[in-house]
Amino acid sequence: MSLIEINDLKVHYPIRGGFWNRIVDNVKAVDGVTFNIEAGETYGLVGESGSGKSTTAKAIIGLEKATSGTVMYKGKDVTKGENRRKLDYNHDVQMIFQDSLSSLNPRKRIEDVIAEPLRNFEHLDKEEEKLRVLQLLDIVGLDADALYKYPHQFSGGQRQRIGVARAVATHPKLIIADEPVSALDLSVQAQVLNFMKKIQRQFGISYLFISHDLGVVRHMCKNIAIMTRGRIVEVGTRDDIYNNPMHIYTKRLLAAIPETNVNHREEHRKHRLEIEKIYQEQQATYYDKDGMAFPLVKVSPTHSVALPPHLAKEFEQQSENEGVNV
Amino acid sequence: MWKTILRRVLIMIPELVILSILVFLLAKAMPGDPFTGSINPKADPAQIHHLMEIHGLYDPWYQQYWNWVVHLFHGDLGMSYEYQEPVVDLIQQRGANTLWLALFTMVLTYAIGLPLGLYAAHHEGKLQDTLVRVYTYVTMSIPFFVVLVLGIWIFGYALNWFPTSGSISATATGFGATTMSRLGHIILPGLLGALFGTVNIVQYLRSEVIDAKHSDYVRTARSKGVPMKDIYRHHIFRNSLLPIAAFAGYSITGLLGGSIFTEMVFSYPGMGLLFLNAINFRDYTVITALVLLYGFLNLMGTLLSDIVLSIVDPRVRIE
Amino acid sequence: MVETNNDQFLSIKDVSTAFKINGQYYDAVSNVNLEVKHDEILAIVGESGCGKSTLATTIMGLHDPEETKISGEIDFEGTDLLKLDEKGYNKFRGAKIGMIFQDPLSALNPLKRIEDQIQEVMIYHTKMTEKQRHARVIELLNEVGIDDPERTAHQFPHQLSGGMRQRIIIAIAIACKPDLIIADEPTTALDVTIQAQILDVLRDIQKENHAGIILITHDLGVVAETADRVAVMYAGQIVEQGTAAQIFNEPKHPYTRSLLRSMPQRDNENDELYVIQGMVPSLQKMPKEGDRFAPRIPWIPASAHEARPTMHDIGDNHLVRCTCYKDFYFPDQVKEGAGHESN
Ligand SMILES: Nc1ncnc2c1ncn2[C@@H]1O[C@H](COP(=O)(O)OP(=O)(O)OP(=O)(O)O)[C@@H](O)[C@H]1O
Ligand SMILES: Nc1ncnc2c1ncn2[C@@H]1O[C@H](COP(=O)(O)OP(=O)(O)OP(=O)(O)O)[C@@H](O)[C@H]1O
Ligand SMILES: [Mg+2]
Ligand SMILES: [Mg+2]
Repeated sequence: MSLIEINDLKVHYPIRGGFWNRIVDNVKAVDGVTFNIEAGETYGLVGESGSGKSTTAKAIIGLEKATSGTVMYKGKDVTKGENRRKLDYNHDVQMIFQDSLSSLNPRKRIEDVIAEPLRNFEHLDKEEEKLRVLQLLDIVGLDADALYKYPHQFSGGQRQRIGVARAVATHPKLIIADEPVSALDLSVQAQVLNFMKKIQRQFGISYLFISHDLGVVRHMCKNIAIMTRGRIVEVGTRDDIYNNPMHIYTKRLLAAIPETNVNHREEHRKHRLEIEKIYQEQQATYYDKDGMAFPLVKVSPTHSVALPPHLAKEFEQQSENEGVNV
Repeated sequence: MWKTILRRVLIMIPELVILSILVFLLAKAMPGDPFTGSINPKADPAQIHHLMEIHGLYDPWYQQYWNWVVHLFHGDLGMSYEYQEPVVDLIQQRGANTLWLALFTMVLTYAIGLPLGLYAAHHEGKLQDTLVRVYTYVTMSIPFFVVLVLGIWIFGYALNWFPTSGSISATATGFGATTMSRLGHIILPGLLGALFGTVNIVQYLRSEVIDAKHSDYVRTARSKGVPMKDIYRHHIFRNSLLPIAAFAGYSITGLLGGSIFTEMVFSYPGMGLLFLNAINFRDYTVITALVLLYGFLNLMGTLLSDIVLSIVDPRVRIE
Repeated sequence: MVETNNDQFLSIKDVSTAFKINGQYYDAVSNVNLEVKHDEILAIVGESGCGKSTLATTIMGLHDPEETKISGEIDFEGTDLLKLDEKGYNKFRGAKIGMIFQDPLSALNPLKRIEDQIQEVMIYHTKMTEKQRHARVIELLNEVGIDDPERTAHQFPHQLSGGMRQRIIIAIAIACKPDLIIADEPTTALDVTIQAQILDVLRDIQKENHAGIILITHDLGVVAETADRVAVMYAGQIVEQGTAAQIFNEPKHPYTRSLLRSMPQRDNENDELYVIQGMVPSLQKMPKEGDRFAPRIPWIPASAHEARPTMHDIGDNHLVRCTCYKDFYFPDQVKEGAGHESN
């Protein structure tokens, strides 16, 4: 069984307008998202700015109210507040934010920052608490003298690790990491990514890893969902997504990743411009008349794509007749 | 945009109705009555009782309120018990006095505040800046009424440069003389009010200009090869003055309410003093009318500054 | 109008920029030497705080003279920019040198229409009439790939997306066909697809104007895709310089090799990423002498470093600072001289 199952999750923000300021329309920030995260895995959620990644994350953790759909955890729907309390959900699921400085209270010392979740969920005495905080600092590779410092006295990478220390303090089952390394330098990024992998092995934590950097996602995630305009257009394993992308949006996104091999620069550029041309030509057919992605169709046991109806038919028949063609 | 403005105006109506009811009730709830002591200290309770009856003061509050509303729509806010004059006339007279003082104060405030703020910011961190900041700190740390009392004592009594009470001298006749006399009466209170009022503007403008100076768009302008003095003119000053222009709409309506302190110290017959006296004498009709007027001015001020802001700043839309 | 020679037209000689902190000056850029030619993209890479932006703003002359001390020579088409007064500098800014800044959200004046912001640069550097300027604005907007130029010209910055704003900033930078374009992290704030488009626009424009571009970034992918030559900067100094092929195929300096190895790539999916120990020193903590990168590779013996590291040409204009590259190896690798383990 999966650790957490997200089913047809929707978050719509009302747009008010008109004379009486009534709701005239909705921003469909998240519009029918479905995926599961297995215990101990890192699940990647990728998409351009405004595609609804953060909103999805917030709805899963309960910071944003889901308009409809369910988030099943231990067999209960945690979009409902009472279930979250019953299951200790807020203890089991933690979040790491993109901007570590603004998410850490500047007037609190690191000791208090890290101890905060412990104080909320576990009732330790002063000694035990301190011991735990020191352990956590050790895990994230910071000196004990960090205890009495304030967030601004740390570098970006160190602050991000403090964010991680706080998130892992309560031994959560799932950490939602919303762009945890987007603001960091290469070397610091490497440090945080390595570290996230390390504590995953150590504690069996699952991650929902949100990013727009496809290089980082490839490095971190086994299963990946590509999101645009509030919907998922392609889901699959790392292999499916990077070696056999089928939705034009995914293809275009992949083609835009800069090529690090200088020798293939020109081919890569040609390839990208070709894909861009195809994207412009076929864009209309890959989205419905409202500009939304089509429902996902299974093209292999691990790989689903929001194919337009005429292409989808083929796969539906195939899977009906002869099982799934890998 | 006009739609939004209309909607905001329409929303003001229920707000004003609720405000008026509240004020009406509060005024009634104050202990005392408007007649004791006003006719004759030894007035007979029976006579007061009679007067109360004539004025309908024993009717249930909603009936009194209704009467008041009906009259309001006829442009009649009732008679002041204290001054025995129609409230409308009273407000008109006092309002005119306050208007002159307010306008004068405002012009002075901006005439002093704007250049001072710009000057300080322009010389950020230098001696000039420090001097201006010392001025703002000193002014801020002295309570306003102390400034007023000191001002009136030095310039009014000791030096005898300015009149110390009233809005016009009784002996002035003819247009020229009356105007001069009015001006003479508002210079000192206006100046003192402005000295005090500039502090906010100076500080606000100074920090706006300094922020703008270090902003990315100024760096962009510099890298276009625009000389610094033109950058000040076209980018920095312009951007930092806009919010102040919008705030002016708000502060003018605030000043129109009359400054109770200033008017009290200078015995200047404006709205503030009128309000103070009305409370003292339980002059219900005046109290209700004034509070309603203040409420109205306040709402208008907010609306006005929002409108101005939405005109000068493309990012702001009244929604 | 535009010269099509391939000669270097910008040469930065021994330039240092120091900031005043608590009354003392500290170098953010130390003794940098660089050349830029027409038709070439020179990338400057390095971690945050290495002095990339400081170098860019030094070329642009944007530093407050009371807070900074600048020495050296910046020879731009025969003029030493550092000797110019403000008035003289303004003849270059916007006209011969265009600059593109990192943050497209704040780099435009929020209260001015796009048209006015683009026209402003022409007002100061050309004798065009209002009508000609308008025509040029439309032409520029087309050039940077904006679909509806007439409409966009009339809009305010907040009405445009980040990618569109960055295009506007490019339009401003190229309005007067400068010989040099300095782009400081032009795509860092943008999505990959928009990043690719913006880089294409830059390249197309360069081809047309034969401009030289200094592209500042910390994204090695962007460098590998666009740069002709690369200068790697660490702690205010250039530590390695060469063609893109030299830097990516045969990186020499330990810093360059470390950076390349810390990047998630196709072939290290399941490995640990390499982490450079320590961090870029702050200005006050900059090592006064010796190799500034030495503290971050402590397993390399001090004897491998030069006492006063200088740049060495190791062939074909491939320059490397210090001789320590010869003895460098990663801690998890056997010592084998200058290997090719990171590509
Ligand atoms: N509180 C809100 N009210 C209205 N619309 C909102 C709100 N929050 C987000 N949106 C809209 O929902 C959409 C999705 O936003 P979201 O922040 O989830 O995107 P994202 O994928 O995280 O993007 P980014 O990469 O920029 O962080 C956007 O169009 C955004 O403008
Ligand atoms: N005005 C200033 N006063 C003092 N120190 C400064 C100033 N500007 C920059 N610095 C310092 O100079 C060093 C180099 O900064 P710079 O902005 O040039 O780095 P960068 O390589 O552009 O980094 P990034 O990738 O973060 O933009 C940093 O240590 C920085 O703190
Ligand atoms: Mg987000
Ligand atoms: Mg920079």
